[in-house]
This record gives sequence, C-alpha cells and structure tokens, in this order.
Amino acid sequence: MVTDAEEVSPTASSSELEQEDDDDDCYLSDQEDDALEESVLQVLEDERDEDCHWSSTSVITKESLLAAQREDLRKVMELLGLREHHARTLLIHYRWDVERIFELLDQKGRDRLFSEAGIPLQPANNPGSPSSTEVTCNVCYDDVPLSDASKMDCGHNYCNECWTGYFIVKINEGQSRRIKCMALKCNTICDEAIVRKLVNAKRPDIAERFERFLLESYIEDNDTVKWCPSTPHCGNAIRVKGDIHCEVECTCGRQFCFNCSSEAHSPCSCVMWELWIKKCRDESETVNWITVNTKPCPKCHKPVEKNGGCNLVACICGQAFCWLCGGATGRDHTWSSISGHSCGRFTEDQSKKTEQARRNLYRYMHYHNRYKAHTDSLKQEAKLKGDIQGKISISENKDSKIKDYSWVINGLNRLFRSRRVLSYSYPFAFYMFGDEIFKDEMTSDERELKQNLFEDQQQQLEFNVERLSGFLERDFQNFSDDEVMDTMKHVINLSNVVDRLCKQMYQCIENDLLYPLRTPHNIAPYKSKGLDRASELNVCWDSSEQGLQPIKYSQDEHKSQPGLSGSSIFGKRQLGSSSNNNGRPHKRERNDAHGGAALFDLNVPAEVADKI
Amino acid sequence: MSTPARKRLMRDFKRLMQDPPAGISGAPQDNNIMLWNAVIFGPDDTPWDGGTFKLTLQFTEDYPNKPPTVRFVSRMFHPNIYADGSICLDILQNQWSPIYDVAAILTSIQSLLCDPNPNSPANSEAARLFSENKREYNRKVREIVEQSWTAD
Repeated sequence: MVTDAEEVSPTASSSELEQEDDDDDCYLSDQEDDALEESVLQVLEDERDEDCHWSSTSVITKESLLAAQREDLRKVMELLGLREHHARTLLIHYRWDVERIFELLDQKGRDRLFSEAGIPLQPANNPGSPSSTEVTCNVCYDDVPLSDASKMDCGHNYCNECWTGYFIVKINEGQSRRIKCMALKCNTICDEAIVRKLVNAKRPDIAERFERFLLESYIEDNDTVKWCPSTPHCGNAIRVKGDIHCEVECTCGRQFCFNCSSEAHSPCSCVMWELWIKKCRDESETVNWITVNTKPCPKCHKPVEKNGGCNLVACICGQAFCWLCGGATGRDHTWSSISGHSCGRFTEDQSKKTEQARRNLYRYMHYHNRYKAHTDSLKQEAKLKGDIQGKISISENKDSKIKDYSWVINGLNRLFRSRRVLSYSYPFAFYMFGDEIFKDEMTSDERELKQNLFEDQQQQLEFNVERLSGFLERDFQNFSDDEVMDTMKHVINLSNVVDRLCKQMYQCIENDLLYPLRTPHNIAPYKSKGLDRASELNVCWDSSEQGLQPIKYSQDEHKSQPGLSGSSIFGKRQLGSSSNNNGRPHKRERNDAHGGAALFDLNVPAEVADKI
Repeated sequence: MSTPARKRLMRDFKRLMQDPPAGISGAPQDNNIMLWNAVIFGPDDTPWDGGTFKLTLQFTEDYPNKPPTVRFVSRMFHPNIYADGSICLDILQNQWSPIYDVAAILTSIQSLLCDPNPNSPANSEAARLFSENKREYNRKVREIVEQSWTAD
C-alpha cells in the first residue's frame, strides 16, 4: 500500500521528527532513479502480507480541480499536437485515461483514434470564402454575412444565432462535454472556444454553467475520480490511482467504497452489497420489488427516467439502451397472453412456492439478525469512544506509574474495524452460499465444505471481537495498576488476534471462495491500519520544470513495473502517472511507513501516535 | 410575436408547399403555427398502399433545436408505433438534428412504415407477427389501411 501521508508539520519540535527530516534530506540526495525503485519495492514488500492491491488516493477540491486535469490536457496536447478542445474531447471520450489513449494510438493509429472520438482528421477545406461575402444558413434559411456565421472544424457553417440557440439547448440538456455539430450524421465535437464566445454573448449564466460542466468532466467522465458521496456535499472528489476496488476516506470524514460510492462494505462485494441494501429496504421479503420509475444506464450506472413514449432511451453519457416494453399496447398484450398462463402455473406450484418462500424468509432473517446485531454494536461502540476518552483523562491524573494509555485507543480502533468486517461478512455469506448468485458455480457438497470453512473463521473472529469489546468496556480508571496491566495485556493480545483473524478471513474469501468463480467479484482489501485517508492534491509545482519531470518519473515507474507485477497473483493495473512531480512522494511514503509502525509500537506516546 | 421557431416553421411550410415530397402533406392548424396536421400516404407496391394515415405534430419554441412531438391519429399496426400513436424513431429522439425540417420528418416516418425495427418494439404483437408470421402481419396492415379511409 502506498498512501500519500500528510506532510509532517515543519514546526514539530520532536527530536525524532527532526531526525526523520534529516533522513529525508540524505535520502533525496542519493541517486533518485535507484532510490525510487528501491523505495517502491520496499514499501510493497512491507505491505505484501496485508495488501496485494496497490492504490493511492488523493482528494480534489474545487481549487485543485483545474490543476488536476490541466496536467492531463497538457500531456495529450503536447504529445499529439492537438489544440486544447481536441485534447479535452479525446480525454473525455477515453474517460481521462491517458495511458489508454497512448496504447490505442499504437493499436488503431491516429486517424481512427481521432475519428472515433469526434475529432476531425485534417483542416476543413475553405472553398467558398474568396468568392462570397454571405453564407446561407441551412437551419434558419437566412443569408447572413460571413462575420455572423461560424464554421466548425468539420467545415459545417451556420449562422451564429442558430449555433447559439443550439448550444443553449444542449447545455441545458447536460451535454456540455460532447456538443456535436448540428449537421446530419456529423460526429465532430464543437469547438469549446466558439461555444463559450457565442453563449456568453447572449446568456452569460449558461456560459458559466458550460465552463463548470467542462471542468467537472474530469470527475464525471473519469473512472479514477469520484465525487465524495457525503450529504450535504462537501464539494470534494477523490482520485484513486491503482486498484479502484478500495475503500477511501475523504478529508470531510466520509468513508466509502470507491468502486460503487456506497458506504464502505468490504468484504461484501459491490454486487452483493447493492442486492443486500435493496433487500433490506424491501420490508416485505415475500414480494419482489421492481424499480419502475428509473433504470440504471448500463455504462455509467446513473438512473435514467423514461420521459417519452419510446423504449429506446439515451443516457446523457451517450449510452443508449432499450427499456422494457411498456405503454398501453405492450401492457395489454402482455396481460392477455401471459396472465392466463401465469395464473395456471401459480395455481399448480402455489404450495411449493409458499414453502420455498418461508424457507427463504427464515434464511434471510438468520443473516440479517446477525448483521444488524453487529451494526448495532458498532453504533454503541462509537459512543464508547467518548467514554473511553474520559476514562483515560481520569487515569492519567491518578497517582499511578502507568501513564501510557495509547493501547486503549489502538484497541478501540481495532474493534471498530473488525466489527465492521464482521458485520459485512454476513451479507457476504448470505449471497456467497445462497441460490441467488452462485447457485450454478458450486456443487452442494462444495458449498457445504466452503461454508463450514468460512463460518468457522467467522465464529472465531466473532468470539474474539466480543472478548475485545468486553475488555475495552471495563472501568479501568478505577483499577489498581496490576489490574490495568492485566487489561492492557488482554487488549493488546486480542487486538493482534483479531487483526490476524481478519486477514485470514480475507484470504479465505479472496483465494478459496471468490477466486475459483467464473464471474469475477472484487472486494476492497483488508488494511490493518484502516481506510486510506485521501491526501490533498498538490497543485503547487514549478511550471518551468513541468516539461521535464513528468517524463522522467514516467520512465522510473516503467522501470519498476516488473517488480510490481510479480507481487500480485491477480495481476496489477498499470501504475498511473503521479501528479506530484517533486520529491515529496518519497518523503511522505517514508513518513507513512514509519507512522504505520508507530501504530503497533505501544511505547510511543499517545500524542505522537495520534498526530501520525 | 415572431420567434426563431415560428420563423423557421413558416419557412418549413413554404418549402413544403413549393416542393412537396411524394406521399406526404402537412399544414399548420388554423391560427396555430405550433400545431400541424399531416397525412402520410402508404407507399405503392406495399401492404400499406392506399392508406391515408393522419398525424399531428406539436412544436415548441425550442424547435428546431428540439424535435416536435409527433403522433398518429389514425389507428396503426406497426412494430414501432404505440397504441396511442406515439412513434419510436431515432431522429425524433437522440438522433435529432436542427437540419431536419417537417418534410424530412414526414418522409422518415413514411420510410419507417415499410422498414420497421423489430428490436425496439412499441407494439409487441406487431413485432412478433412481423418476425414470425409475415402473412398475418400483412393482413392486419391491410385491415388498418381500409380503416384509414373512413376514420376521423
């Protein structure tokens, strides 16, 4: 795991922190190429036992949003010789995946790469301009002076009034990021500079919206960037480089699964979690609830409302899909032809279905009750944090030789994480060993064997989590020193046991349960130290160095690729380019590694541990 | 009041009068340029031959940047036409372009009569017959052709 840790405050007076700074200075003066490779491999080696899924997270604020995408724009503009709006069109079309654009450039060639994205291949001919001072607009049929008309890169020319009206409608429809030429079957994306100029002259408010949509396309059209799902919205977005199946924490405190933007739910997969949430929401388990009003777009998963009479609907992301046949005609025919048949079938199988429904309901209740018990405990234990803080304050003021209570905080954090894992393991088991998803992928004997294997680990984890919870609830502020020492030993031991059991459960899930399946189900990996807290994206680097350093670091990362690949049995996604091109990543990585160790070093004072 | 939509519709009407495509006709209703009546004649040498199918076109001030709402008034039997007369046609939805005028819309609908898309069924019985029982499909089409002579 490579996490961009927050930079240590330069005002820190601790001699250890100063020593770290000195080490960093020496480190940076070494050969950077070799040092980078060694550093990355070292971090991976350190984290190998915990985490084969590499990812790093950063938070994008309103202020850093422009800087975040400008880097990608400039890269594409420079290497492909494109103007800004063409570079943006290309990046939006390929979802801001710069590496993929360059791969496809090799595979498809420049012409196909561009035409598929709506970029014209060569400058349009200009046959009419010398001989005429007017142009006939084919939309309003007016003859207008050349100065009152605009020509797009594809060569199509219409009057500015018609362009403006068209642009305003498209922006209001949410199409700012891909406004196509008005001409029939023309796929060319309109020049954003012309759009901006014409719309701003007539409707500055809509021009402002156009700008915001373009800016936010870096998030809306980017698979590696997601809005923080907090409510009310904090305004931040999170960018993940590496494995997108991870759980992240925004600077506003919100924790969520990056892949599906739901609350963090590992070891339950996104598919299972979505099914589980829907199931829990439907209070009557004997009735199948169907979403009638909206359906998810197969491409971007946004809900789409059907506002017209047609079954072919188009999402604003450009993906078209077919709605289920609806409307009066469809309903009439479906009713008349299926209802009779269905009625007969229901009559025949009614008894069997009733029994099956009862069995399914009992099974669901079994899993839901335990899931709910653990989520309820998690809420109670969240309140426990305040109590424990009070107990620590009392204890630290006592006439006692024991002054270090960081083990309590560490134990409590371990309890939170393991309780969460335990809670989500029940919806996981509900679907893993049920008939809904994996019925055809395991024989009944296989399923029974795997279920026993899983539940044995689950029960061990549950037993030890409850023990840890019990010790942490003790009123140790009233204890003698010996009693406190005894409690401390138990808390430390149980924290380690629980951590190990969580790891084992994840290994069981990933290697024994999910890996053999035909349909892939990915879960965010277990991390002993908890979710990745996203770091602020660094927007301040020397512009004069921009042209050199990105290429340099890209080469470095390429060198380290073989080592990275070998560390994962599932295969790794390519490392993304770093947006931070100075030496800071190395510095923060070292700090993070050191800080990580501190979480387990119970001799470090609580103040330092909390700061890290 | 003269808006871009109304000016454009007046021009559409003028072009339709001056150079009418074969098999279609249309005109605004009395005193309302935004609501048109139209007729599509069934193409020759097809089961639709002889039909006179009536439609309405409701425009908004967003025209020509947005398509009109088009609906058959005559009873229809076609895979892509709903019971209420709504039409499933790409240029009336996501493939719309301001270049299309009223004549182009009506001509496209006329083409749709003989060239349905069974993958996007608005009338499931028609779609099924079109794929499985062409003879029965054609018989039903001729049935509505005869009805179109008298219905109002």
